[in-house]
Amino acid sequence: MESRHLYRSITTGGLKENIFGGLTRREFIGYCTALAAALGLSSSYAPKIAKALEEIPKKTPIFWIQSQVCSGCFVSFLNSSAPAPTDLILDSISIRFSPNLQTVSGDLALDTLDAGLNELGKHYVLIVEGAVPLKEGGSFAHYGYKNGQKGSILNWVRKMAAKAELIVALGTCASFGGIPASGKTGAKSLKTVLDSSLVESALVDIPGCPPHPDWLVGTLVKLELFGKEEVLKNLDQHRRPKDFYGELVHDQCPRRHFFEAGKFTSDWNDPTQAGYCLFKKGCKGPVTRADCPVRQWNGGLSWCVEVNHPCIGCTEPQFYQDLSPLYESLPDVSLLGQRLRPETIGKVLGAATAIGIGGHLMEMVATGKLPKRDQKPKKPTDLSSDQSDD
Amino acid sequence: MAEKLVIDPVTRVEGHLRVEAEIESGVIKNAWVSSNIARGFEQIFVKKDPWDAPLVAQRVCGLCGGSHGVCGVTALDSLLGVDLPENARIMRNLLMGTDFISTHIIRFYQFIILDFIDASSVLNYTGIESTLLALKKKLEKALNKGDAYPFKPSFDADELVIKDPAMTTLFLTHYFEALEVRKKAHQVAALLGGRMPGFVGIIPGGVTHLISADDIGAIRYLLSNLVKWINSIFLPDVIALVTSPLLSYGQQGVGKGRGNFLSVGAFDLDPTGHERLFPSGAIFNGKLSELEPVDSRRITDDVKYSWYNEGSAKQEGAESRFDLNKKKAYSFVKAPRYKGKAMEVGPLARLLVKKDETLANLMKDFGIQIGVVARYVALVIECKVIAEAMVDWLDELSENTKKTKRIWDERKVPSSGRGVGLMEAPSGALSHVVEVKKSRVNRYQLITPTAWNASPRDNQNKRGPLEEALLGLPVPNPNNPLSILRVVHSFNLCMSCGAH
Repeated sequence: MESRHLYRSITTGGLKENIFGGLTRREFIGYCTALAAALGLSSSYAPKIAKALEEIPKKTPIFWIQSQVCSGCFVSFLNSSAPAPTDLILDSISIRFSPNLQTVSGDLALDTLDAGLNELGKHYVLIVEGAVPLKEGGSFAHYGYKNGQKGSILNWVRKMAAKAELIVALGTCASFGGIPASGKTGAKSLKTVLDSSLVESALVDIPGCPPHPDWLVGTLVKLELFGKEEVLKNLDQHRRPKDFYGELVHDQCPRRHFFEAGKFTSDWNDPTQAGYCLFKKGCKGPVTRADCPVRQWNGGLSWCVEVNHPCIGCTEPQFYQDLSPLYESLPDVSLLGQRLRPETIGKVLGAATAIGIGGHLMEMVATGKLPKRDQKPKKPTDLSSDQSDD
Repeated sequence: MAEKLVIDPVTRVEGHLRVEAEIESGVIKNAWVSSNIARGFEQIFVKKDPWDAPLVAQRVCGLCGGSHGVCGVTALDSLLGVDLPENARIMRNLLMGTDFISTHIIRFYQFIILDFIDASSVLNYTGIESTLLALKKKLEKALNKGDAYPFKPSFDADELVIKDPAMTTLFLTHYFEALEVRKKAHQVAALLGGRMPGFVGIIPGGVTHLISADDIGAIRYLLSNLVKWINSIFLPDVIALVTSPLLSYGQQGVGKGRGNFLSVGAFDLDPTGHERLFPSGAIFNGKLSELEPVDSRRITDDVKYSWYNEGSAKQEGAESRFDLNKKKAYSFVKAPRYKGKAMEVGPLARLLVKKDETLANLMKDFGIQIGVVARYVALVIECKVIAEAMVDWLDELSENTKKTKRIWDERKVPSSGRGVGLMEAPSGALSHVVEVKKSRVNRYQLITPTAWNASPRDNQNKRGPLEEALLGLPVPNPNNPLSILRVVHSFNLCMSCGAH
């Protein structure tokens, strides 16, 4: 990355001269352009966004329920750079319930959930962070003690989801079960524990361990600017917004040419290998959909592969258990009837690219579009199955 | 007649916390703290590739996950017999430092400070400072619309809630500044480890990446911003709070607890690990001058009151098989003990063990006793100490990379063996123990800072540090638990870590 770009993103990391100050018209348009980028839209949308923003009557009410969490999704949300969390909290969203932010505790905190249900009709967003455990009657996640009764997270989630305009399964745990799903608490994704009609009509998955803040904020802004239907019509088979999860990491990777050329990092100490493809170190980029290589993290500074570390596939339904071992290369795949080792895959794909089908072919393998008989995937990473978590 | 008060959920902590107190004549007579949510993390590691462990361990906590990652990779290093390259040692220290800075800032500004703020007091601000007026304007609009979340609703102001509207407005302004500034600590982590939260690039044997001169320059710039902000905003804010509105509260030593402190040490400053930024040591019964060396074999982990099967009192972590029907159990948190004692861990414990002069002088000059207020002071001093140390480490790294580019000591995972990682995370002492059989993880045990601080009763029926600190606390109005929240928040709890 060019250092000039680096410094610019650092110095403009959301801090205005006066953090509550209004924006000049020019700054405002710049802000809308940044928003368009966060939405995965081209900058030509900026004027439309500006107009819509000026017409938004009130803040979007949000209820943020945490189930089996580590709060990493929440902390990642706080890293939002455009818009900054200050602008979000003061101007755009109204976080009515959040275990991390809310001033009141106990029953008074839970009251904001009930009050919201009564007051808001269907105009609110429910964010659920963490997997929902079903074993032992949901006893691995108790929450609240209203009127002397323990409540399970499951009940709170179902109650709040029933009326929500949009339900966001934030993070890989809520989207697919994630790391807790390989434990013994019966941890399930949101789409498993909600009625399928509700899933179809209101659920969006924003996976990632953690998810990039733009993926959440972009979705919320899109909801506010263009409405729920716009959000729901552009989801993939796992209910991830294609704006952010539309392409394979592998196909956007700046190191892709090293893959094609068969140049792989094997020794992290060897400076000549720094910058090579990390496929042989276990990179899950070929089976992972996310725009990290393009969007980059923490205000556009870096991403996992930038620091010579393989992509761990954290936005996929198979994360973590079915992508483990994380540092072993993806299983051999058969292409055009030939069984390939990582050593040779690049060369063959290089040749395939020459006749114009390489990346597309690899993608077909990764997503199971090639017939099964052409592949011999080994456990635990089953490239042929792109099944959902349940 | 005792009255029972339940606060569930306690907000402005990480994860799920429930506090139950028995109140008699306006004073807490007994207390129970617990977590009602568990993921069963220790079982998740089992049968997996040991190399995965540090990445998985990071997901124990989203606030201090970086420290779990480094602690996990240290356990792996010890299993593999790694001779850690200097560049990797310094890179890991820097990564862990970002975790401390970001977490400490969130702790004070997002979690603690609202215990002393009534947001509607901002409306009475009559000064002319433009930033403060801008916030006043925004909050005024929000309050009038009844939409001042997350600051409202709030508990009724008691005698410790700040009366001065200017101070309230300033602190709320800094609430937002803190939100923006802490992102810079995560930007440092991203330059070192790709992204944050959930940085990558730390692997058994070292790190994957040696930062470039450009990156070193960028990190220096970010760190100088952070150091400046900590010194000019964070430190003065805490000093102003504790020496003015909270002076007598601090002098009374509210929320003291038993006065047992433990630090296992952190941030190796040389390859031997003998010299550390925070040394290890144990203090008992508030006798600060009698510092004992730490013998990690004396750490036990009780489960009598936790939802796990018995087979406890083993060293370094009990078996974590759930037993939800266990009689008397009330928490997913276990009860770690050192020499059989409940120990407070965290910034205050570390600075007391370090015999930090800034802390000692401040406490002496203002007559601050060990307790809630001393914990706030320790939080900010430590944040400053680490941020300033990181600037030095960056220079050290810069020099060292001129000598050698080595970042990785490649070792094979043995077919069987055991590795230990013992270090401090932002909220206190942390240990990861990995046992390997047939080159797969056979057992993985975690003892987390919050398990120390928010532990339930132990096998001897003795309370945990937070439970103890709540005893004798005045709660004049059971409908207003602010006094309880202040003590709870001073312990820097990560409940997700605690239960894991």
